[in-house]
Amino acid sequence: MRETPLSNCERNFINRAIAEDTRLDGRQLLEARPVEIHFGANWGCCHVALGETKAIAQVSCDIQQPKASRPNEGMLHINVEFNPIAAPHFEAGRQSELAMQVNRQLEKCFKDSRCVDLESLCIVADEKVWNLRVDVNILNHDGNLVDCASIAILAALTHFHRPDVTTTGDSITIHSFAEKDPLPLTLHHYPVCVSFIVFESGQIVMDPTYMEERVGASQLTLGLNSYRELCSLQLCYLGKTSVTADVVPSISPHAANYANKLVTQIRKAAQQDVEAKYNKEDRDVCRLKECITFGKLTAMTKPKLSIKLAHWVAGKSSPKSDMETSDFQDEDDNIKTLGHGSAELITNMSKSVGEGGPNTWQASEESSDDEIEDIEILQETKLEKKVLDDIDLGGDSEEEDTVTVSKNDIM
Amino acid sequence: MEVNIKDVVVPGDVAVEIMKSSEKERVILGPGLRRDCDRVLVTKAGVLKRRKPAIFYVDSYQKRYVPNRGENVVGIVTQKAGDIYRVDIGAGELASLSYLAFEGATKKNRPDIVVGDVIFAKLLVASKGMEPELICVDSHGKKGKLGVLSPDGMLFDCSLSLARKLLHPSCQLLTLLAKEQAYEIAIGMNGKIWMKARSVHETIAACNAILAAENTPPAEMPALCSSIARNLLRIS
Repeated sequence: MRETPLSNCERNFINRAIAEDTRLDGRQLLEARPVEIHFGANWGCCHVALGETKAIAQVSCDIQQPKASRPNEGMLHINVEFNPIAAPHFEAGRQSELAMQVNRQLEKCFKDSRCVDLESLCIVADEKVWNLRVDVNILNHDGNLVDCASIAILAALTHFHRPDVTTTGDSITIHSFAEKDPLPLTLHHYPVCVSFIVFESGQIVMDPTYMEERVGASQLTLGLNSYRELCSLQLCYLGKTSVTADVVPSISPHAANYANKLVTQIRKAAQQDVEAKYNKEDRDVCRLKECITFGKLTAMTKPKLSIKLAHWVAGKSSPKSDMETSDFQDEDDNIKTLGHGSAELITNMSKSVGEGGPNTWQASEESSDDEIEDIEILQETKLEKKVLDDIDLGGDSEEEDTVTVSKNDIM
Repeated sequence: MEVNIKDVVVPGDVAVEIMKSSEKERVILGPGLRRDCDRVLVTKAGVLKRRKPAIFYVDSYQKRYVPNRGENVVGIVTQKAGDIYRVDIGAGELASLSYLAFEGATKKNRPDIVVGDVIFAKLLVASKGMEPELICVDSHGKKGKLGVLSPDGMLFDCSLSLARKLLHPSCQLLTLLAKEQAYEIAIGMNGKIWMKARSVHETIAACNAILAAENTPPAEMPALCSSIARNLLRIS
């Protein structure tokens, strides 16, 4: 399928907005979208969401004969797949030009910077070495695929453990995970990609969305590690404007700080999951399910608007509620003590106005000639919340009457 | 499974209530329903609804537009080919728009449209297996509200259900928003919305309000509009 053409309106508007230091999604020019990292049940399986851009990476390994030029080093392959699942204009099967470019950028960042200690992957020199393969699948495309893929790869590599191997004489034994604990990879440093878009007006924008990528004049991707070292640099002209020489120095300190923060986040997430996996009960838990949002029609999209004002928070009366952290159901609920030995869990429904939450959609859709109970139902749920004021504390039994609103009531 | 009006339905369900309606009545099956011999089957996931007297349809959440005759859509001109323009309206195929389908256009006097322009047009032909055709005049040859939209505005996508919700006569959002700020809007049934306000901030604010309306019950729309207006004041 072809890509939706970019209209002159969108181009003009975005250029005008950027010239006024405004971004459509309410971010600052040099502000990145929040990163979420979730690990799967296997070693080296990682799902990363950078705003609405999503990627999943899986590291796998097998034993191969090394290259003749480097007989005592293991091998690392990076493979990025762009499927129509990410965006309808990606073609299945054939590697597009964009896919090749992203693949090469990631290879430069991870392979050419030698962040994985390949020598430790050698089993028998010139005969048998570990061959690592990182497969990245883009699940949703909302711009900045390189950054998202690089975070996924780094997190997957940090998380990955390979089986232990013992050599006795000529024979090699590969131990299953049950026999011997698997070994993590050795990483010398932790590089990530940080992307920028330069607009015609000369403004620089960090972590561009799909729309900004299409409008921008040139794209700049820096590969940086947590020691503020540059691992790769890619400058790509999308339009005809030239980039002035001071672009790279002007953003590199900011990019380095951001990369440092990102690496800390990735390592922390990976470490937590690895520790949880070493606790025997927790071993096969797949945490990918945590990236699903509940109570929404499209469960994988975050309750975020693509166009919003800078400080706009959904919900009229609760500016303190922080949408970034609302993935956890617990934070939406608060527990109020009513008296001795009793408490009631109140789900904070009002905060989700306008940004996802339970679908309250039918009320106005109803055609005027059969306007039956739909509106009343909304009031019913509100009454539920007020009940806590009227509860009489006569009984000191711990069993409160709980009224559950079933799904049928709401529909 | 057998389902009734206002149930959540999935493809393959049998709508029993429709069969029960009286013999004389003429039943109209809307989107998402299909007759199979003596049964009516559901073909989309959504909520089964009925309008009096006997119009049945499935109200579903969808982003892909299927053209219907007579609907107003917003599209992007992608190509000039001979005497027609090719317009992307988000459907499976590009729609065609003749350069004669504008007010006062003749063979000599062509409308001034370039590739990338956004137009608001009505679907003249929309049938299965045929290229949809657009026009920018009504039956009297007047342009009315149709035509090329100014390039100063902003174009954005929303779900089809949101577009329908906004265009519903009982929807208060646009009126409420107009009390807070001045804007121009063109809502296409294909889920594309063109919007223009006085400044960039105001345009973003209005777009924000419209997108947020997707999950806002009608009772909270005034609150939504005032919160947008308050935010706008804080920024500018």
